[in-house]
Amino acid sequence: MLRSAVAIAVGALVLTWAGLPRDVSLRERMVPVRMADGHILLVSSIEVTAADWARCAKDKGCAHRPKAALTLQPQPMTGVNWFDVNEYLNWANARSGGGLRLPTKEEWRWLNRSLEKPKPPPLFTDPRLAWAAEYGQENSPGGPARSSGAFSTTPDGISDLDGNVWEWTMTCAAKGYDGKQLRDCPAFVVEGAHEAEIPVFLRNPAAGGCATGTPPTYLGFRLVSDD
Amino acid sequence: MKNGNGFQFSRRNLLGVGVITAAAATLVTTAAKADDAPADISKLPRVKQVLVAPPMLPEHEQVVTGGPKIIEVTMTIEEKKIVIDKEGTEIWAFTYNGTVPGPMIVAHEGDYVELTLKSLATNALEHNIDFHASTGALGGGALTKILPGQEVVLRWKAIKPGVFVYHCAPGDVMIPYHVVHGMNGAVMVLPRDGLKDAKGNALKYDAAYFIGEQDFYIPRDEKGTFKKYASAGEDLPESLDVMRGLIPSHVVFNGAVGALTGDKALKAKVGDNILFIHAQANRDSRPHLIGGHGDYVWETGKFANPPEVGLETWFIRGGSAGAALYRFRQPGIYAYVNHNLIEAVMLGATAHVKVDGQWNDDLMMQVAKPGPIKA
Repeated sequence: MLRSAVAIAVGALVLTWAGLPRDVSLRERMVPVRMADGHILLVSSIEVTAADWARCAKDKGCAHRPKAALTLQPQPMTGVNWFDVNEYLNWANARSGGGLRLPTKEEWRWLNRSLEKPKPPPLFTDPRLAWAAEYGQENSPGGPARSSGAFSTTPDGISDLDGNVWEWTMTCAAKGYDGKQLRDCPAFVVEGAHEAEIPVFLRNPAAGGCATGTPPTYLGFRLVSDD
Repeated sequence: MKNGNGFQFSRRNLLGVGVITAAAATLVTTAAKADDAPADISKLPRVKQVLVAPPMLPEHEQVVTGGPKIIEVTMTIEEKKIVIDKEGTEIWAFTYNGTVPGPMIVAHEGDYVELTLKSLATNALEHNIDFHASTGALGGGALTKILPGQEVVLRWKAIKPGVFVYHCAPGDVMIPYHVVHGMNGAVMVLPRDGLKDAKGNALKYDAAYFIGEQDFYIPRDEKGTFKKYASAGEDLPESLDVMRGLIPSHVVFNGAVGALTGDKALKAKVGDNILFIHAQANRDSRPHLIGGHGDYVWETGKFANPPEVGLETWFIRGGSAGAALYRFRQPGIYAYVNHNLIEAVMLGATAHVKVDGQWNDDLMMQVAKPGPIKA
């Protein structure tokens, strides 16, 4: 039901903004990055901000309007699930003329290559304990929300990949889905200080704890474009 | 400053001025039965117990050597700002020795606990201590009220074996207010000959951990964000409003979400007998060890009763402590939770135990890995 609601919303948006001049401001922060295969990907230097989201909400493109206080300028938008993110993408593409999307997990990792740390040895080597082998090794920055750009910037000019906001990717966590459609993928990979798989409905990963492991602190996203 | 309940907020309320009772330590001289027979205090050996931060316990014997003694302990009350979750939510906690919960004191039945309680001069509020393990004067609460910059000495005899809560109880709404600001801990009074099963066989532990469960009630602003305060006690009117709703904003082990996970996870080896002591000074809880059990559980925490065996989940009544002994049989990660899973996962009541050793296929094995459903 949610998925068809998204489809209807997309249709409404396309109608609303058809014929309006293209909004170039949504691409202002994009920087070109040469990817592993040599092609150029345009990548937003920071995550989508709360101010960006407010515009989408004001245009009635984004139904989700969190009540949390936004004290920082600019501040990354957090607390968004897969459907929220796709509403924003649909709005942003209708506004800007298209081409905006989430990165794939592989693209995100390439962007993050200068920040990658060597993996510590597994906690357990017995394959029967693979489920517990990475326990306690995730680096998981917490703390309150910080301004966009408050964490590291890579030599490519991409900021906050190592921050306390984890970013949705378009890579489905289950095999057999291309991740390019909303259709049926139950969970997507989110990237950040460590990789996690987050169900499409979740806006805030566990506040307290999981059975094992450390959940991402906040969920946000970053836009990329092939052209 | 007034809150929704009409409670007047002032420094006078905070300090409780006018109801200060001087501490008077005098010798007990009348007696009838064994447990209240007077001992010649002056002839008993005195030992200093060095208290340590939970989840650890002070050094102690399980089966005691020698006769009753006076165990001298010192606790310093410190009001301090602590961070209680990953998002950075703060509370001005009221602490014994700087930790939430306060340190565990260990004695044996028939010993005397002699506490020197100090309150830092920089504190803002009046404090005291009520030991559920003690007898008389509101658990010592009536004899231990101290203002910032004061100290008091209280001695009580450990006549009931078991694990017991202690907490601050300065009077009226200050009692729950102090308790839900972290001002509680536990005492373990062991039988002189140690723990026993129902048949009287000795039970030993290789390690013991003190898990103090804490419910916090942090006020929010109009946008739903947790409020921060500049000094201890300033949150009183708004805290009372949240407390009155009885729905905690946080339920955590050892003072903060994640205080016993990751690098700070509890440790054990396959074959170890671990004693989990669980205290909740205010509210009911239901500990459960995910992936394990309670081999021997003193659900009400009192060692004169035989332990139950082979439990799944056990109940901790608000205002009590319980103890569970478990021998780990498999390596890996275990989650020790309050099995109200909303409280465990969303409010914080989760600890982890990292267990080393050899996997036992007889107890469990993954017979086939996940894959497409076969017709």
